[in-house]
Amino acid sequence: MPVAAWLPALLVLVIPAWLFLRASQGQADALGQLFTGETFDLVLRSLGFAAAVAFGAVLIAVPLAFLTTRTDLPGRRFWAVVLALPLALPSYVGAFTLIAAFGHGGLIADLLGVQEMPDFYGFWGATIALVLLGYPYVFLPVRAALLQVDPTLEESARVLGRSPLGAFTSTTLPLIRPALVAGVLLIALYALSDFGAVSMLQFDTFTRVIYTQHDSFDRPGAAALSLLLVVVTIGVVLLELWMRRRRASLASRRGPRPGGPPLIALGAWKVPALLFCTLIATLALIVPVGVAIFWAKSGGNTCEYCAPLGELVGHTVTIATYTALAAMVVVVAVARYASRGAGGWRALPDRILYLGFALPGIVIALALVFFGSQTMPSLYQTMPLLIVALLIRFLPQAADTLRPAMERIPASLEESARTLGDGPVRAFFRASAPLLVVSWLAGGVMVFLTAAKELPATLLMRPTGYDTLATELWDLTNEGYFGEAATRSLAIIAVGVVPMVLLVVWTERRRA
Amino acid sequence: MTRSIFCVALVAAVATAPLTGCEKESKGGDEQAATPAGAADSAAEAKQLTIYVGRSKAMVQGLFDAFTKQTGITVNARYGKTTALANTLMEEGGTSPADLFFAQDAGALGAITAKGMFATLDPNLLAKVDKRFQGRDATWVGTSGRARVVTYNTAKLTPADLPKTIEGFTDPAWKGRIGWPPKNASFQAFVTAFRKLKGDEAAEKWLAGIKANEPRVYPKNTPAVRAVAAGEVDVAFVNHYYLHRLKKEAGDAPFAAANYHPPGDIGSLMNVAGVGILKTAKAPKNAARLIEFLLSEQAQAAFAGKNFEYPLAAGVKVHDGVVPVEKLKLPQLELGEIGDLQATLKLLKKTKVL
Amino acid sequence: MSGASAIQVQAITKSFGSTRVLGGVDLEVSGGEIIALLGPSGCGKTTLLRLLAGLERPDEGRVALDGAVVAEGGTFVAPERRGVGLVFQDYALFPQRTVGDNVAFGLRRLPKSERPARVAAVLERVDMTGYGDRYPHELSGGQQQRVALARALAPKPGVLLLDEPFSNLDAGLRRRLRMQLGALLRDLGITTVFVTHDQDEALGLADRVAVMVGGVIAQVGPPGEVYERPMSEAVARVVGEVNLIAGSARGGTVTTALGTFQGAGPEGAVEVLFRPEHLGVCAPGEEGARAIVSAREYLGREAHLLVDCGESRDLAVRCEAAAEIAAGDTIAVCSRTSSPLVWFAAGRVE
Repeated sequence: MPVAAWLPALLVLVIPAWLFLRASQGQADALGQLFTGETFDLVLRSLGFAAAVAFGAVLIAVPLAFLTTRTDLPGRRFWAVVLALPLALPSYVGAFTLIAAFGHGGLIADLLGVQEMPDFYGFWGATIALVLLGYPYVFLPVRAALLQVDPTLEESARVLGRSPLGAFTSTTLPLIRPALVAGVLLIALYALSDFGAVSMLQFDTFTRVIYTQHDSFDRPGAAALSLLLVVVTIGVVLLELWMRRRRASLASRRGPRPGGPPLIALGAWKVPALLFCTLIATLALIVPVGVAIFWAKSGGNTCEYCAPLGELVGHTVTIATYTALAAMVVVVAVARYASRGAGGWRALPDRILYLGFALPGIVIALALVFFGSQTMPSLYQTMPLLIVALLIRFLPQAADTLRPAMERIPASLEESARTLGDGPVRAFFRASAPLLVVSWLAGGVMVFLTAAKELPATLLMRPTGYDTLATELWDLTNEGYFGEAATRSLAIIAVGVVPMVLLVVWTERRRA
Repeated sequence: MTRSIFCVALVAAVATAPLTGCEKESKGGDEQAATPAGAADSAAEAKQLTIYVGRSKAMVQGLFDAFTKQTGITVNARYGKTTALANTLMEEGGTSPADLFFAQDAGALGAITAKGMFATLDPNLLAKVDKRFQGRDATWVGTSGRARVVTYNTAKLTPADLPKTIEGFTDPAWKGRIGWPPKNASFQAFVTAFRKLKGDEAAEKWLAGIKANEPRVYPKNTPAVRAVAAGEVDVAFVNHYYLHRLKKEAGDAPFAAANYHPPGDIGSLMNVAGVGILKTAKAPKNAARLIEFLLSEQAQAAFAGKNFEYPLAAGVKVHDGVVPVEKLKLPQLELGEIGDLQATLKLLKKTKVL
Repeated sequence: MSGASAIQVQAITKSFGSTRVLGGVDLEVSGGEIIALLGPSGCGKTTLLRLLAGLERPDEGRVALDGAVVAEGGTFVAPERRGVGLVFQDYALFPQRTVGDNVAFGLRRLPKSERPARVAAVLERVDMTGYGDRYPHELSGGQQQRVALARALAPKPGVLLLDEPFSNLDAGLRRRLRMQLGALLRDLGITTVFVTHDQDEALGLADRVAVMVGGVIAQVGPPGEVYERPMSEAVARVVGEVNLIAGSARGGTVTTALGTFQGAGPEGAVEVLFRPEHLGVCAPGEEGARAIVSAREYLGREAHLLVDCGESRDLAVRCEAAAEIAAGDTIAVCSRTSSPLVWFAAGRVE
């Protein structure tokens, strides 16, 4: 099993290896530029940005997860689906539509007849945009964790005199900490690696500067900066590992109770809760979709050489499905290996994967272009290598959802299965796996969504002529065919909605 | 329970497998082209070309289709962003599957030239195009150009009112009357050219000077030109063809703007889109035929007619209303040199333009 | 191989990181025997159990089951091949499966047609007939324990291992289930090792008790021997309550404030072991040692007193519940036993 767990990590490590190669090819000043005040500012700015986005996301996601799993909020299932959907929006589309809605001369300004709108660009605009688009990264794992927690602990707290809310915060909240930390790590790295939103909102993070350097053909400089990003990522991941070590493992004795955990009555808080959900759903989902629909309707020129929508959808779904399936297979070995130790060496393969998530898509793509074209030309520009690139990019999402779930399962379940005659693999599948299905699927869905809307790596690695909704969308936006671009955006969202809905519905049904 | 999930996953995998099969077929075609590469005969050259294209599909796919119809050579066009494609080519190095690189921008062509990845082009091919619009040592050739202009409002201004050089606009008389799109790639390329031609200090001075005149900032070229026609600003620093596009869109409605090319100055820089054959090309002779086609009357007329670009092959007329090349006094600049975007961005930030 | 013990453990050591948990353990268990591993927490008893199951590997030493070596140096037989049944402290029932499915879990090698019969049979054994379709969370603690037992027994293992089988149950239930379990195990004739920190459990259920202190087996023997003739004070404390009274020993006799007694132990200044039931309040006219009561606990069937007698503090003395003795009273303590006693050298003996 160690081999299976290390294989993906070794694959990811190919990227830093390539970065070293590139960085050392430039003149000395490629690495030298790293030690300037400007770079230092960049590091601080990016870290600050990641922290702000993470903070904002937690502020939104945890209450929403709580409301949709542990309270009697009306329409819980509906909200669970809707509130997870922003993940289906590509960040460039989201940022663009937010500007179109709230910026100067935007739709809202027109509607309200307001001349002066607050400036949406820069740090605050980018933070708000990414919080709204990225909070599902925290929402989904926390939700999955809340659904799986042993309710008897809360019940003990109730008996000991705590209010329902107090019992929740004192007993359950600490139990979902691993999932919460995992989600925070994910969104922080998402903020570091995002390009679409920050470029549109003119905010210079690592990723944006790396792209600029690529645009200037300064590959050594870009590689050096990417290496710095790798170092920063390692720092962030180590921080997370350190934070986890201070908590003993809180594996629950019993599994989830069918029928779900007890619900907390909201009473007078129902209305504010509903308003909150509506607000987030509006900002994060309805506004972008609304703007997209508006653009799609007001049309613009028809594009003669665009691929038919059906073909694009087919391609997109294919790529996303393969990536998701591959991720779901690979993640089991990695997450299991990481969850069975108490941090330390065993956590390494799992943590190394985060490098893939933190690095911008273009870096991963170029590294694989290099290795692909040099070492395996027959695979270059074919589907398998594209899937590998997307896997490197998005596997951590699946791992992040699965690993906390694995840690929650007591070791005695599998050990019982061992004494009853099952080998290690069988014991895992028969004893632990049934309890992991929800988290496993949630991870797979996340990978599907992000792979479907991915742009930079897909552009570089796709088989020639094999376009996806995202690549076509980019082309159309460049050429000013906003109407058609909007249709493609809506299609991307639709492609993401279906698995999302299936997942939530299925999760809810298992509770009943 | 677990069993049913595996079943679903298996079914999904099986169901989507045929789709990979489909695109593998077209890839298979590519592979077949690769194997007879050893043969030097043009007759044995595969009737397939792989071209990396930084231009928009809507613009050029039609031309490729026409080429295929005429010659029977299939064109596998890989569309993408010019700079990303250039980087890709550099990573691929000697094992690149591409035959040609069709870039939107001369800077990218210059970068590939600097890496020594372009093959030398046949001088007969290049004869049609002015030497200014070719790569150093005949490594690439421009296919169409776009000129920097000052689009001005015709209701308020005549050409006589406009300064002879782009630096002239730093005069305080122009305060509040200028519009520009500093985020736009063409603008940034222009600033890079400015720096290369006149030096960083002069460029900085110009940027600071314009900034002092409180120009209105537009996200893209199109809104800037619209603003000029509407009278919101008097002048805008853009590419020449936006005026013509918008005029066409307006149809018969009045559009009060025109283009001004500051004579003999960086202000009327011509940036080109161009194409070159890579040393790794497996079908170099067929590749040359494609370039020939792109420089032919048919293709050049398409660039001029559809997009109002400047055709660079001699003997092709520009679209009505576009000032012909001969009438322009272009700056002396090696176009391949304008790839250094990073320093430009630094300067733009320093002067608080960005 | 007749004559081979069902379980044989030799010179086992095991460390976790820098902590040495087992420091040289030897044990032999005969077929059909029920043996208890008794000791305080941290003494290594659960680790030893897990080593028998194959869930841990020993650092040194050997483990053999029914004559066949299952762990030694390079040899290691995986848990699924040992034919050992294990019941965890938390029962570890698979929450998604019914009782019937849980019990049938280990029956993969049995032909499908025979499984329902086996499940039914073993459920009947543990008195859980009819519960086949229930889910674990619907059962009480005692019921879950029985299902866990049934599950472990269903594949007819050669050895049964139990980790603190009754610790999760309330006291009344414990005694009853203990006796039922004892009867069941003897009826099945299955070799059983169970881990407990509860001396009543160990003494009541086991044929032999292995007392573990500090990573080694300090003494192993039938309950009576371990209780009445502990080899050290530490063992004595694990197995029951300890009263140590100063005395002076010579030959096989010791003289204390409570009188002179026969028994075994070192010469010279010693501390004599009296169990609480060996001490009582003197009857009128009896000569005893003067003591002051420091605490009294009424237990219905009897009362427990804590008394300070001479240098000995907090001696545990039994008396009748009805006796009107309160804290602060002065009483006379007399011995209530005539059997041989055990004594240890004076001074701290761990």
